Amino acid sequence: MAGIGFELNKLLKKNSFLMDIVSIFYSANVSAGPWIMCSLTLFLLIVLLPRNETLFFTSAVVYSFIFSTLLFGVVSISVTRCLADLMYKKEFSKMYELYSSTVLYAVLSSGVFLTIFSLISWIDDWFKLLLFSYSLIVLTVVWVQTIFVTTMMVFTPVLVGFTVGNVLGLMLSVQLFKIKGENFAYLGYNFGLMFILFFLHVFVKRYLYTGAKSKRSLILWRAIRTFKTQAITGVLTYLAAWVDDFVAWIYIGKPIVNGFVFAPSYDVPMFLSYLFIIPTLTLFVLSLETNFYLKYRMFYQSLEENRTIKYVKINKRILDDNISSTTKTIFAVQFAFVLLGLTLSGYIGRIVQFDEYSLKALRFGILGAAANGAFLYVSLLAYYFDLAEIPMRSAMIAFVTNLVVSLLYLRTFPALGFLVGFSLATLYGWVSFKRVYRDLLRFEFIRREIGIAARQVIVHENVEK
Amino acid sequence: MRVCILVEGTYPYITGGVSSWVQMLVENMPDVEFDVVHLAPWRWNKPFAYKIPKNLKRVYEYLLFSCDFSRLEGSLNEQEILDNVRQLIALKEDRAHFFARVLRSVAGKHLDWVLQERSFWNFIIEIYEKYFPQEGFTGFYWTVIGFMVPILSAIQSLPPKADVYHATTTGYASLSALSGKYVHGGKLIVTEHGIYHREREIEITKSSSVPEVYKKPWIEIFRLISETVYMECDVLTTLFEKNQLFQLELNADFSKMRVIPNGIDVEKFSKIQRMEHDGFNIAIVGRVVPIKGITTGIKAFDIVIKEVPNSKLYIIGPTDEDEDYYDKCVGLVRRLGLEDKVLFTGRADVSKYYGMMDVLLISSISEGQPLVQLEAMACGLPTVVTNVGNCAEIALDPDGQTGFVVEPNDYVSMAEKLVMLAKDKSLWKTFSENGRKIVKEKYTLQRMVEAYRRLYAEVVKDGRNRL
Repeated sequence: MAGIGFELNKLLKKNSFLMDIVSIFYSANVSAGPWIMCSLTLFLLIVLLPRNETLFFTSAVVYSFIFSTLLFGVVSISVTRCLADLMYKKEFSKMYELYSSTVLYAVLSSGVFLTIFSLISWIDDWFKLLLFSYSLIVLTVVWVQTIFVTTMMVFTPVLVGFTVGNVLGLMLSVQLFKIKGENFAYLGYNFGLMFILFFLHVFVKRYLYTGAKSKRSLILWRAIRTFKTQAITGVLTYLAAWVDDFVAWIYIGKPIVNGFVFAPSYDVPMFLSYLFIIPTLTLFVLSLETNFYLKYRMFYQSLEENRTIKYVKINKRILDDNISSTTKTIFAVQFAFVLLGLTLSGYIGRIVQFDEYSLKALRFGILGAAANGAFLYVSLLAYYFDLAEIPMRSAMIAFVTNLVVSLLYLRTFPALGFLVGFSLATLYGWVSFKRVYRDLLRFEFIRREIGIAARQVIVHENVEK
Repeated sequence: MRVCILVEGTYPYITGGVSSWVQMLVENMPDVEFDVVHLAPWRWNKPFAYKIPKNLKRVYEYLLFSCDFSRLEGSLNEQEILDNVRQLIALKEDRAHFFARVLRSVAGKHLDWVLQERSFWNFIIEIYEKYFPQEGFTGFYWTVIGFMVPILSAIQSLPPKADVYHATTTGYASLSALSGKYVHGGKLIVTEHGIYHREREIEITKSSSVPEVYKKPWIEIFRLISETVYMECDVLTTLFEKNQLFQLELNADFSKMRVIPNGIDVEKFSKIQRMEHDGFNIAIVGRVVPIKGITTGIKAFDIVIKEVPNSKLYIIGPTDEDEDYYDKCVGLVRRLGLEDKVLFTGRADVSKYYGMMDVLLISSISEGQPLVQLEAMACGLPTVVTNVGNCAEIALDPDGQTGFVVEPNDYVSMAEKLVMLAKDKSLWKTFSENGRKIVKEKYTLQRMVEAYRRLYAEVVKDGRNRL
C-alpha cells in the first residue's frame, strides 16, 4: 500500500459524493480486494451451488486462500518495505528485479508446499490436485502482484482485474457446474484467477520493466534479511488468523478427498465474518493513506527542514488530532458494522443453513474480525512510524492466544480464540504504540544512533621484549 | 614509575611534531614505563608510523565519536548532573571551578545513556527555548549532540592507572587525563605544543559547516575546558614563553607553569656532512597538509627560480594524509611548469637530505616549536620561517640570528629572503654558524629529557615543587 495515498488524494480533491464513493471502492479493492474476492465468492458459491456437491471445491478454495497467504506472509511486509526504499532511492530498475524474484519465490514455495502436501496426503485424483495446485500458485502470485501494482499507484488494474476476475470466475463456476459438475466449476473459478494474474502482470511489466537485462539476483533474500522483523510478522499475522481453522480441522474436520480435511461448520462462518471488516479496512486505508499521510508528512518535513520547535509541535498536534479522530471514526464504524452483523447473523445463518454451532462461530467471528481489523489498523500505524517490533510482538500474542484458546474452547465456543487473540494483540499494539507516540519527538531523535560507532577500547600490547 | 601519555589523533599513527616528541621522550627514558592513550577521531586502518620503544607497554585506542548507552553506574543521578550543567551555563564567573566539580563527580562513569533520558530531552528543550528559539530545532539538537559526544567520550576514556598523566593538549586528551587523575589518583602534567583552544577557535571560526550562531558557544566550551585543565593540572608546561600568555589569559596559575623547549639529538644532526651539489636546494620538511602552507612555499619558489635558476625545492614528508591537498600541490607545480624543479619525496629519512640542502623553509600557517627548525639549525642550515608559534623567536634568537621571518602566506617576502640567502654567502654562513651554536646550547635532547625526568619525579613526590 506504499503508494496509494497519491491516487486517493487526486480522487478526493474532486470533492464530490460520487468521487468519494469511487475512492472508497478503490480503497476497499486495494486493501481488501483479495479478501473480498475469496469471502464473497465463497459466500456466493455456497448460496448458488448445492453445498453437498461442492465440498471439495469449497475446501480447496479455502485451502488455497489459507496456504497462499501463509506463503505470501513471508514476503508480504518485507517486500513492501523494500519497495518503498527502492522508490525512495529512485532505484527503479531494481523494482522489476524484485518483482521477478518475488514471483519466482511464490511459484517455488507453492511448488514445495504442493509436493509435500501431495506426498503426505496421497491424492489419487490428479485432476483435483492439478486444480488445487493451480489455484494455490496463482493466488500466491496474485498476492505478490498486488503489492507491486499498488506501489506503482496504478490502481485501475487492481480495480478492474479483481472485479472482472471475480465476476468471471463466479459466472464460469456456476455455468460449468451445471454442465460438467464440481471439478469444472473449480476450473471456471481458476480461469477467473488466471485473468487477474494476467491482467496484473501486464500492468506490472508496463510500469516497472525498464528493459534492463534480467539477472539472477539475491534482492529478495536481501529484502527478507534486512527486514526480517517484517518477514516474521507477515507469517505470524497470517498464522494467527488461521490457526483456529487448523484446530477446527483437527477437532471437527471431516475428510473430503485424500488430503483435504474441511470443517464447513467452522470455516464457512469464519470466512463470512471477514466480510464485516471490509468497511473498517476500507476506511482505515482511506484515512491513513490520504488525510493522515499528509499530516504525517508535514510533521516529518518540519523536522527535515529544520523548523523551530514551535512549528514542529504545531504539526505534531495536528497529527495527534488526526490520529485521534481517525481512530474514533474507524472504531465507531466498525462498531456499527459489528452490531449490524450480529443483528443480521440469524438471517444469514438461515440463508446458508447454519446450525447452532456455525451461528455461534459466525457471531464470535464477526467480533474477532473486528478485532483483527483493529489489529491491522494499529499495525499499519506502527509501520508508518517504523516500529516494526510492535506488530511482530502483537502478532505473536494473537497467534499464541488464538492457538491456546482454540485448543481449549473451540468445541464449545467457536472462534473465541480468534476474538481473544486479536483483541489482546490490538490492546498490546495500541498501548505500545501510544507509549512511543506520546513521546514521538524525543523518540525520533534518540532512535537515530546511525553513524556513531559503539564505544570500545583497542589495546595494543607491545610484545617486543 | 609509570607515565601515561595522552594524545589526540597523533602518536603513533601520524608523524609530526607531537608524535616525534612522544617518541623521543619515551625512547630516551628507558627506565620509565609508559602507556599511551590515543583518542582517535576515527578508526585507523593503517599501521603505526613509529617503531614502538620497548618501555612503551601499551597503546590504548579510544574512538572519540562513539557511544555506549548501557547504564552501569547505579549511583549516577542524571538529574543532578543536568542541574549542574544548568548552573554551569548560568554562571557568569568561576565556571572552571564548577566544571571541575562536575567532572570529578562523573569521572570514569558511563554517561552516554543520559543522552537518551527524558530529563536530558527536557534539558535540551529548555536550553533551546531559552537561548536559540529562532533556530531550527533539528540542527540545534544535532549540534549539541555533536558538541557532547566527543566530550563525553573523552571523559569516559578512562586511562590506565599511572603515577603521572601527561597530556599533550588541553582538549579531549586532558579530559581523559583528568578522569585518570580523579579515579586513579595520579598527577597531571599538561604540555601544550600549541595553544589548543586557540587552534580550535581558528578552526571553528573558519568552518563553513558550523552555523554562525553556534560558533561562539562552541569556542566557549573549548576555552572552559582549557581553563579547567589549567586549574586542575599539577604542572603546565609549554615549549616557549609566548604561549604562556594565552595560558595566563585563562587564569592559569603561574606557579605551576614551566617552559621546557623541544630538544633534538644535536650530535646526530651536526654530524651530517654537507654534500657538494650544484645550484641552490630549498627544503620544506613536513606532512603535505594545508596547515604546512605547502602551496605558499611552491608559489615562493616560483619567484625564486626566476632569480636563481638553478635552484630546486624538495618537499620532504608523507603525502598520503590529505590526498586532495597533495593533488592541489602537484597541480600547482604542473601549472607553474616546475615539474623538473620541485620534488615530492614522500615519507623519507630527512637526515639523508639535509646534507644536500641549502636552506629550510617553514611556510606553515600554524606551528608550535618545530623540531625540523632545530634539526636544520644543527645541520648548519639557515631557515626562512613564518611568524607562527615559536619559529620567529628561534630564528631571531638574541644570541644570534639563524634565519629570516616572514608573515604566513606572504610568498613574495618568502621568496625575497630565500633569494637573499642564495646570493649572499656570508649571510648564509653567519646564520649557519649561529644556528649550530644556539641549538647546541639551548635545544638538546638531553636537556629536554632531563627536564621532563625531573618534572615526573617531582610531581610524583609532591605535585607542586618547582623545577
